[in-house]
Amino acid sequence: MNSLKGTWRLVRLALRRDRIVVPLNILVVLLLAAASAPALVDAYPDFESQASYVSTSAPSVVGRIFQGTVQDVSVGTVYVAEAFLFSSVIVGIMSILIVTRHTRYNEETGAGELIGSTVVGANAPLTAALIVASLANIVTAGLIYAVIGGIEELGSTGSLYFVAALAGVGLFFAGVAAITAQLSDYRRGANSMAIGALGAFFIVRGFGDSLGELGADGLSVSATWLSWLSPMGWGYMSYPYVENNLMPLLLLLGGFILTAGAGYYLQSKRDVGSSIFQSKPGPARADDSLKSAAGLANRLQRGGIIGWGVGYAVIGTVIGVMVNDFRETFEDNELFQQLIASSGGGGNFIENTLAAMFPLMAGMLSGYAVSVAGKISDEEQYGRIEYLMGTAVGRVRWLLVNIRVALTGGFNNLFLMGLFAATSYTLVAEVSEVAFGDIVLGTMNIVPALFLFFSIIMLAFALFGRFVRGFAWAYFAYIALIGNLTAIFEWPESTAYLSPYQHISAFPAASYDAGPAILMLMFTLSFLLLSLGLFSKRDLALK
Amino acid sequence: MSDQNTVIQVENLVKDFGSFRALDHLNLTVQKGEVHGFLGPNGSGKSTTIRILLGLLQKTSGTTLLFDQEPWGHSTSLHERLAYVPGDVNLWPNLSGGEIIDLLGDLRGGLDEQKRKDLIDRFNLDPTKKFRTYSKGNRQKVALVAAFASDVDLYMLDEPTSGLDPLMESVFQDYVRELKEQGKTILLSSHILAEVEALCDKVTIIRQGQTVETGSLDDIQQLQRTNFEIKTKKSTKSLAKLKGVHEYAEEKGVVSFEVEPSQLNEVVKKLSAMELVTMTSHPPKLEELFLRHYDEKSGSDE
Repeated sequence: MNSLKGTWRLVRLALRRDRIVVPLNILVVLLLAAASAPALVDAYPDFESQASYVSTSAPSVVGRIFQGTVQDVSVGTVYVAEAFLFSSVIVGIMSILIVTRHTRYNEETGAGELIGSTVVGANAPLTAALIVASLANIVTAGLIYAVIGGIEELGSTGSLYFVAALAGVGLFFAGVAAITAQLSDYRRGANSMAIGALGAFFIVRGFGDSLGELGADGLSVSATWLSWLSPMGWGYMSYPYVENNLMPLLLLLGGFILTAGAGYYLQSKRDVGSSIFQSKPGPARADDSLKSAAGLANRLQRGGIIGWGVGYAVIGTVIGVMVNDFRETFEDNELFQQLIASSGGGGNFIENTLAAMFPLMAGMLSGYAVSVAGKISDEEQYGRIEYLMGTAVGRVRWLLVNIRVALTGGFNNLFLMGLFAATSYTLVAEVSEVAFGDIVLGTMNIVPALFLFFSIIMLAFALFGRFVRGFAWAYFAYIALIGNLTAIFEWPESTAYLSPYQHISAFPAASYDAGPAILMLMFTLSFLLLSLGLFSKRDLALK
Repeated sequence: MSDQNTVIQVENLVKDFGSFRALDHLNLTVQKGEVHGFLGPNGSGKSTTIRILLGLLQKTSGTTLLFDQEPWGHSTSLHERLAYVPGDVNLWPNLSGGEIIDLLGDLRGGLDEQKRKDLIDRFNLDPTKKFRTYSKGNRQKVALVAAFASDVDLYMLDEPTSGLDPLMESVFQDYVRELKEQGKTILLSSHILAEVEALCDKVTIIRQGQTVETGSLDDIQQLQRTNFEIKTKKSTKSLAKLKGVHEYAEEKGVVSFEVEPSQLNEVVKKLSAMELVTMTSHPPKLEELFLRHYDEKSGSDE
């Protein structure tokens, strides 16, 4: 066991380094998976309401993609449909980030070499990372069970299967990351590959589920074999609360052992610090488009803007396809009516739904602002700004071009969301009840809210430098969840007051009111000017 | 105010980080066309001084003039006239070395194509590698090529060669000499004292944010003394009291001391009367001066 020497010491190191980020991650999963359970039990108390949910989800393509294949009429089925897939994506990402942080990232920064030179076995770092990822998943599962295990309507055995399936998916992706950490010489590369795999597995299962066969009573769906190719499919098909099937959970565990084993094998085939895929050489000369402060900002933000753009477009498409389905499902649903009411609907059903869905989904996608702001603050945190500021680029210009790139990207992405929503709705709807242009304008209506959110983050950056990250993620979590939570828990509307997305005009449900937009843009402008002024006055945080 | 030939003028510069005083009335003057060594132990405030000169940090008090201008708030126009190489070269991991050189050159106001090519050749740098894949020495080369390929008046180099091998070190020294011939000004912060001795006309030594020694290598008094190590048959105690003799010490029968140039003749006469057994003498090194400054005082302040 020499190759594992030092593992516990490294586990303690990893736990110490993760003491803030992982608990936060777990809290988000807890909010999503555990906090919604009591609310759902209240909202779907009887056979009738549950059957209405199931009968809507079962035949719908979108329902199957995002809710899985419902099995029978019970509140457990509703809970799994609502909570499982989203939560499993988050535990998957959490596990991936833990594993790459304590393996590839250490090697990238050179800490891995230092660790390797001490009395630490060759397999200890990877083992420590996998132990920490496993612990995180077990704790997550335990905490969720602590909340839902006692809910009688759900049943404790089913809840046990539910949390086990969730942790199983997390473990599986920890194993996937153990492989990708060997493949790329770069943490971001390893993360992209693993998260890409997660996305692909999500899509495979989505296909498998949407092609499934609808039961004779319209209240159950049997997934096709495609869904059996995806770990999310395995987790889902343990069918907690219905079948409590152990076999898929064993598949997840076996998958974890196999992927982790492959990780160890690949690791033994490479040198410390190197990787299976060598990084490709770049151009010897810079393209003209790169050679300016704006060019650099564009280049650094490009990947993020495109990545988020895909998200905006996909969500736009889903909304466009879904609004028609929604009518059948939700016209009588109380929860949904509350949501519509909160957006002050006064138009037809489609218009009301769009006016409620757009800000809700765009709020969840406002992580875009956090991610671009994070990249801007990285330039300072990693000391690259020192070199830039040593050239003829002034601080104000540097921040200004970065803000411009971020805002342009956000504007384009919201436009994409509207365009895809309008196109897909127009293609799917037999009779179009909302004009194409109005749907596009519906997302453009949200632009000032995104800008305002971004300008507040920039203000925090100008004031507090690298501490902006924590603030921005917390504010984002508030924005992303508050709309849902106020509707579910019937909190007073004022709890959502600090989310700019709550203040936009109710277009297309009501006629367009420019007032909120003008106000928000004025705030945006003043915050941005203030942050430019403050940033040019403060000391840079340099190492 | 300063005359036209003063490129950097720092007087009584104070910088506080919270309650910690990083710079404590520091002085530094660099003339046009000078290669100026800027020395001090780790944490003595060299980088802080340079960053204040670059307008990245705001001073607490004192005078700082760069090309006769206050750097804070005027950094953009000033930076067109200088190139800076930080000690920790940490640039965009997914851009190639070549891209970074072009980008930084452009942000500085253009680079000399011929020099760029020549520098890449002589530093033996592969410009197609992604920055994150370079070793420490190669990262410094990227920064050095970007700086030297720019045609500017002042080069501020903050420990630029700590990762270079001796071959590359000599390429670096050649370039600095070429720049000096062209009349460029160079502020070189370095721990490699042989490099400083080989390149610099003047040095400023700082310690805990204060200037402890400044002047040309020829002028610094202690650098003009001659060091002696002798063994004699007769007692040498009387030497210690002679005028112009410094740092007298005796260890295991070997006596060492330093002599000022004016008293050299007098001392040598006395030595011959003491029946020398062995004698070595050598000119003092910057290193000895450096070590003395830090040894002497390190216990006394804190």
